Amino acid sequence: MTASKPILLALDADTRRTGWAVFEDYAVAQSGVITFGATRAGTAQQRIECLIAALDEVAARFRPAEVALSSPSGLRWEVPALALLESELAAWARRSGLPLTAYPVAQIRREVAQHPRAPAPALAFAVMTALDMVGTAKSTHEWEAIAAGAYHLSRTGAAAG
Amino acid sequence: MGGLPILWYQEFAVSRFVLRGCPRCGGDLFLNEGDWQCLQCGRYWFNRRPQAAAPSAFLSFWRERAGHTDGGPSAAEEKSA
Repeated sequence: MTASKPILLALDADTRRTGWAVFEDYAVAQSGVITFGATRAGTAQQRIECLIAALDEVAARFRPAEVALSSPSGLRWEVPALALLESELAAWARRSGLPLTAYPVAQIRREVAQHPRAPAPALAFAVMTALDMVGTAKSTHEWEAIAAGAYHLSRTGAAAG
Repeated sequence: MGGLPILWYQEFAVSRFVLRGCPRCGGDLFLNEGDWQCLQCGRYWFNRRPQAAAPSAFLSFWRERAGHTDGGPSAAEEKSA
């Protein structure tokens, strides 16, 4: 059996809605969504700055030891806002002294829901059955973040034996 | 219409497109990395079935965490026996 793990912060980052989940000892301790409503919709840079500020609050509250990130994949064209988001998140993790591991969404879906383009409900169902969370009400972004965290834990936990 | 005609297209398609082949909206399908995708509604029609027989490393890990495995006793149960 694997030993207890330090606190992990998992993110499903986006410039408008970011799901986050905190894992403590291989269980979801808390999760939530950082949103930016239409009234606050500014430029991508402004939204990312708001996201970073919100992440600082989450990190201060839970004091995670590492961060797992679900990053968009499969896009065959460059999306400047997403590139900016990834670089800003990497910079935030460096500033906070948190090791950041990013996994492509397709890789997480393939491993968790058995298909790289599995729809969101299938991913949520696979996660809730694997983590014994059936019946828990969470949003799509939270399930995505939980999937990223659970995938990271399964990789690091299996590697540690 | 179900998914069956699309599987048939996959067998005999000479190009990467099936005009008006989407069972949902009637849009044109194109072959995207082994799966058909509708150009009109964006829906994917998967050719491959989930591999339920071979659980991924992810599922194996979390099943072990939950203390049970498919069909056999868990490590804890084996120890206590």
